Amino acid sequence: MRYAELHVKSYFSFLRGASSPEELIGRARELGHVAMALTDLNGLYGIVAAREALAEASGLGRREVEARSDLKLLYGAELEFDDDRGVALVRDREGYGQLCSAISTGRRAAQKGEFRLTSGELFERTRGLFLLAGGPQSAVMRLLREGDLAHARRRLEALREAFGERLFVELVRHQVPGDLERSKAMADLARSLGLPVLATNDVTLHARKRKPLADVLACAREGIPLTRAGRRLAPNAEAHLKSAKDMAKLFEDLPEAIERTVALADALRFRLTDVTYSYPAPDLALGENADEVLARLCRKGLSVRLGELAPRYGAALERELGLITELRYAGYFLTMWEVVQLCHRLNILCQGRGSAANSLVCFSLGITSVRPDVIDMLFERFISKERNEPPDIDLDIEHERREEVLQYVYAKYGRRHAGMVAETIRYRRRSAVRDVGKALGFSEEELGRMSDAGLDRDDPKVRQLFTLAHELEGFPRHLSIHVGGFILSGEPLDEIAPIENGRMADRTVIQWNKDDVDAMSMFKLDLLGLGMLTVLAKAFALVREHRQVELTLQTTPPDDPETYAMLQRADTVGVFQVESRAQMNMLPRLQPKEFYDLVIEVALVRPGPIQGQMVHPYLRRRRGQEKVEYPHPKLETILRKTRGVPLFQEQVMRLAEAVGGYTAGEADQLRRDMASWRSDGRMERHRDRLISGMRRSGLTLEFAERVFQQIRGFGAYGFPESHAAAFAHLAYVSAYLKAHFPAEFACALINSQPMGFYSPAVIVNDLKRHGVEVRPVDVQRSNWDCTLEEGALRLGLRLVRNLGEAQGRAIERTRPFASVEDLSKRTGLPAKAHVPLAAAGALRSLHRQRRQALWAAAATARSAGPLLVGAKWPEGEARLPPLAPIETLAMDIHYARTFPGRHPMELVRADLARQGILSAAELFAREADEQVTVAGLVITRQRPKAAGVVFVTLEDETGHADVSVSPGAFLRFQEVIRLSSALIVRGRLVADGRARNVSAAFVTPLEFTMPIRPRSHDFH
Amino acid sequence: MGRIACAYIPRFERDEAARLAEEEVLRRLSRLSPLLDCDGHGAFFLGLEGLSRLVRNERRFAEQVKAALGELGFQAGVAIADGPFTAWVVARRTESVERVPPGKDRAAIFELPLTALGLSDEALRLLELLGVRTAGALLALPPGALVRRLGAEGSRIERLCRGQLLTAWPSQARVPVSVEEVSLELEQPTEELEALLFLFKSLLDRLLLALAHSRSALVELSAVVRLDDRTSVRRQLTPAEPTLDARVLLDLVRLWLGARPFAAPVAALGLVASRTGVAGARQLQLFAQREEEEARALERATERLAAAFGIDAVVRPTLVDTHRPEARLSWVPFSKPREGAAPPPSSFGGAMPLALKLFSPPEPVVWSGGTLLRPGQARAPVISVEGPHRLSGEWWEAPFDRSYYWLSVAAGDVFWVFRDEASGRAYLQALVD
Repeated sequence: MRYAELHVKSYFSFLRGASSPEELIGRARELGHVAMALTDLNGLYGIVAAREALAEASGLGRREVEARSDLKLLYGAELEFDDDRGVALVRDREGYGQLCSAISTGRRAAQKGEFRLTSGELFERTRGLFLLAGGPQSAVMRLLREGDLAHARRRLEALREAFGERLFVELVRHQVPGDLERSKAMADLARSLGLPVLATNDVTLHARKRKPLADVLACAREGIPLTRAGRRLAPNAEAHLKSAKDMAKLFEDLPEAIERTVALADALRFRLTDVTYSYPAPDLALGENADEVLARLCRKGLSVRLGELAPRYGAALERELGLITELRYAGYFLTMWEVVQLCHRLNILCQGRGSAANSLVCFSLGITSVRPDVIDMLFERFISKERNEPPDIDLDIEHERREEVLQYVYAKYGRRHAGMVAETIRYRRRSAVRDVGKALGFSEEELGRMSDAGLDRDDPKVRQLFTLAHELEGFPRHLSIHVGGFILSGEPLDEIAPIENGRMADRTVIQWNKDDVDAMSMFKLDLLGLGMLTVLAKAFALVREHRQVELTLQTTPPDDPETYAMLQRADTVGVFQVESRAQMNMLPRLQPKEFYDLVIEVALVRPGPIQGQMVHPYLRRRRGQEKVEYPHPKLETILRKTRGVPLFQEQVMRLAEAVGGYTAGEADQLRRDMASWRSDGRMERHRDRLISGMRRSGLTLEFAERVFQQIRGFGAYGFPESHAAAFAHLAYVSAYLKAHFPAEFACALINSQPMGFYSPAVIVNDLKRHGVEVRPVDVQRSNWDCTLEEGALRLGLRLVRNLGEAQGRAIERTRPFASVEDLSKRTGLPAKAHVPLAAAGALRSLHRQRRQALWAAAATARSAGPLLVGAKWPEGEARLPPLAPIETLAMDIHYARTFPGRHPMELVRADLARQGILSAAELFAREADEQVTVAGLVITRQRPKAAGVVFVTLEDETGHADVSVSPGAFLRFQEVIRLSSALIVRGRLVADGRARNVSAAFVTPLEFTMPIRPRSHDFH
Repeated sequence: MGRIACAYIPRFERDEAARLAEEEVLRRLSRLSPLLDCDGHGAFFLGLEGLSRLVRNERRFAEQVKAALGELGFQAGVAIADGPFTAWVVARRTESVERVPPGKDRAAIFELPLTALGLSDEALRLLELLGVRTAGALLALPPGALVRRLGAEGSRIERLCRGQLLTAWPSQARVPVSVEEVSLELEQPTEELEALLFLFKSLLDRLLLALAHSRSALVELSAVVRLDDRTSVRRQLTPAEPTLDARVLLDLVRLWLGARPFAAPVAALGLVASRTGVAGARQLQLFAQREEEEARALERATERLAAAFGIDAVVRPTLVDTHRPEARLSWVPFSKPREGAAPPPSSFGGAMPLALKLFSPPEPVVWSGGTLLRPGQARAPVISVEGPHRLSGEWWEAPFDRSYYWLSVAAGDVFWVFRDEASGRAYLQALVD
């Protein structure tokens, strides 16, 4: 008995199918099906994943699996067109293109997540497609149910006219009351028209047991709990993959309906390998050749960028160019060069990162910044003939101007040849618990408690919740846009993969995610937004305007001692990549003196090295406290730059090859598995192999375990050396700006918010400590953005709460103002903005006293109602109490988001000093292991998973004090630590070099006479 | 005016249940004082005037009030003061009982934090920014200043702190309204034209209904508004002919209100039927609302039945959206609002046969060896079997998984029988036509 299941929806039908392609393929193979067609609703989201799953399950490569697997994988989609629904199955490459085009048409005509395809549009795209009509949700079935045989017949005739002999009538028997009769009636109708019937099981589950999850998905789709779902749920669990025998039994009256599935499957000969992709040909002058153009640009670029050093790298460049020519990648590099040129033309800062920094070609073209004399450029990490995978260049662009670049790419290549890569947003534990919990009727409050310990796991309902949530984890929830991935194609993209609208205007997205694109060997351009580039661009402009100094990413003076001295002091608020609490703690210990030290600094404070316990050995060796040794002679070349300690991702890969018994391809697979969302399961497969390989090479079990822990820790967060170097370059440039142009840098930083680690208040306080005057926001003087006035920073209107940019710009344009009424009238300020503007102190030029300004602003905010127009308001003088200093500060931080004047800690300093409580600066005069007490505003609360300790940063008028709270202490004081905006901490002073840290033993809230609530960067 | 007690029940919702509870509370409190009022927001007032012989100790009286409410399940704060406002604010701040000594009302209010007055967040935020934190500080502001900054709420706050609210005792709502004169004291003064027209419309409806009952029509209407500055504006409005048509009269009110600005927001409004005449049939027809009244009468009747026999005694049938056949019919209390929309048809559209009798719960039967045995009946030979079809679900609560069959027996009956997949037992679901 042979059977092919030709109607299967996977979880890529988004909240409709309840099984993954892997599960469906696995079950279909177990049942011995001849073939299985993946036919997700209005999409081809899952077809590449299904092909990959089949390859993995059958142990065959992706290029051979479709030809040689025991299960023939077929492709198609369940399509909605007008009020009808049918299953389109792909026969050949032409049919595949037609289906992609039909889906793209339906998706582009509707909002994101919806689909609107007309019958006419489908009927224009039928070549190479078979259609299964008459399924449970088809128009024909609906008409039959209504008893309208004549129209049902007419509908089938119309479909036959469009699809001819490629039309089949689908019969489904889910054993619900009445469907046998309807199925027979449908078969009679088909027979009367001479149409062939064909059985499917309209599958949504790989096995019966998945029905509860299918019900939960239905509830998530409908937004209702199970108890109210009623007949919105399927009446039984029969929509699972069934054996040929069971299907034959169901259709024992129509054996030809079963036999025909196999015949049709045989006729469907399309394979995904038939989809050939080519990169668009570059625009070249007549007679030019892309390889030659690329070589010319690179040779010139190398010479310009390296000067007299260039010849040293000439041979390496030629080797890269040779491989690029051989693999025919020149067009791709020319596109990236063109994008970079565009950025230069438009004055948009950009810089390549990731593995592209391993390429001299990228360096020569100006795509990347890291010089070849700084890092070892491992071109094979970027492009390898053996891997035969297209290059992947990540280009960071100023985040506020990235859209200009994206739209340029769309405009240049056209919407049919350019599209962004999709990102599949999947259920994580938290979202899974939430959606299952809602379906099971848990309240929001109960679900909020789910993450807390002490949940009653013996409660059957709670058990049910977690079992189902676990099943749901990893299911696609919806489709989003990849952060910056672009696909360009020589052939129309909508004949390779369906295109749909993104949620953002003017964005079009293909239905495949990054993994699919990789598996299909398509070229991806990653055009990513990076806030720090915006900061740098703005800071360069301010330095040019106010200091008449011309700086760029490339011309910022290298090896500047003042910059390194500042870094060694951890004076890095706002500096890219090294401003976090953990990085600040590391800087005084690592004492960076040159650029490569910064590369290490950036890579060191990451989950990989921390979990692999590589940080302390590295620091000890760097300080000469521990001998540099190599666990194996083969590792010396790999680990020399990092003193025998693996810190970078590529070191770990090379280590796996050198002493773990991995081939280059396997090591690369290891890298991929680390970054995969399913990495947990996949990584475990590497564990034994890697550890035993290292043991065989003579490494200790302890070292092998640490390396493996590090690999796990890398996950998606590990930095390759080239990437760390690219980021270190931006870290250096931003540090240089902060060291030499603190006002310009802080101004640019605040004007680029929201971004980075610290709030504007912290940035402003830091600037004040660097001796720069900060002037408060003032409607008569402030622009929307912060500006510089005679070397001082003038805070901008952007900091005022409830004030939008349009209103801020209107104030900037319209001033000066004679009064609050005048301001209100001429700028059209909305009512809700008046009081915040006054409370922020921005009306200081109109009313000397802030309370008088508030009094006037509140009156102006309310326009009189219609009955009172023209009426006069006599009003006596209000005697309002003067603002206390603490009140001023409370208003400043709430309404102007900063403390332009005094720091709140100054108000309580005398009291604190009397109690022996130290300032942050005073900690540096104390000895290690002393018991100290320190107090300040909380500006960060962090709990890195790798460390298990909670880190808190306190700020006062003298600087920052770092506090670490052990898990035990956190348990005792967590309420205070979580909820108080200022703390007094007593504990032991830990000193390491110039780093100071208070290990908290006792924590109490620091109370001001009224709440002062600065924004802190928190873990919760 | 004598002393007044106020009992304040926090979080007293304004819903149907609260309305019923309110009446229950008033009934209970009437045992303690005949002078009663409530504000609909959880405050209950008891006048002590004339009760001096009965109430010799005010604190003890307050405790009695608290205990009486406790018996009904309410935790109330109780306060006694000279005026209702002071009693109200003090009662809101306490969970026990408090007594403001005679003559000390103003002092008690002066230090009162504004947070105790139940102000909106917006008002509290602004007053806090201005440094105005007590009723005393608020009273030091220029009169009318808050109205300008907080609108109607500002006016209410000012009047509240000046003790101008809650001064009418008992409140107007408890005084019978003259059929020829209707008025309304606004909780918050307003300057909005549409809001005023809406309020005038409700007054007009009341006035015209009363006139219609006495078979009269309006010849001349007197409209009056009292402004927040305590001045009044009055206007005679004369329709072209005697009328009971609210639209005609409202147009006249609209013209009047639209023609002139007032000097302050409107705090109260009233209508007086200053001249009436005999209403014609055409006018009276406007009030032919018999059908509506009948519907209301039905509701009243069912409410009474429910009150007499319990809410579950009056029921109506309803269809339930479920796959489980025996659970598809259910009885719900008559008073329960009807569901908005009918449950959607199942996407799987099962066509059910016509059941002559549906067994709920299903009846256990023995079906084996080609016979069907029902309890207390003779074994029936089964002559044909059709099926199965499958129904399953409700795994989260009471899972079921059933295979259904149509069984025809020799006697000609058709049974709808299912086999429970978990236990293997058979059950009779229905007798089929």
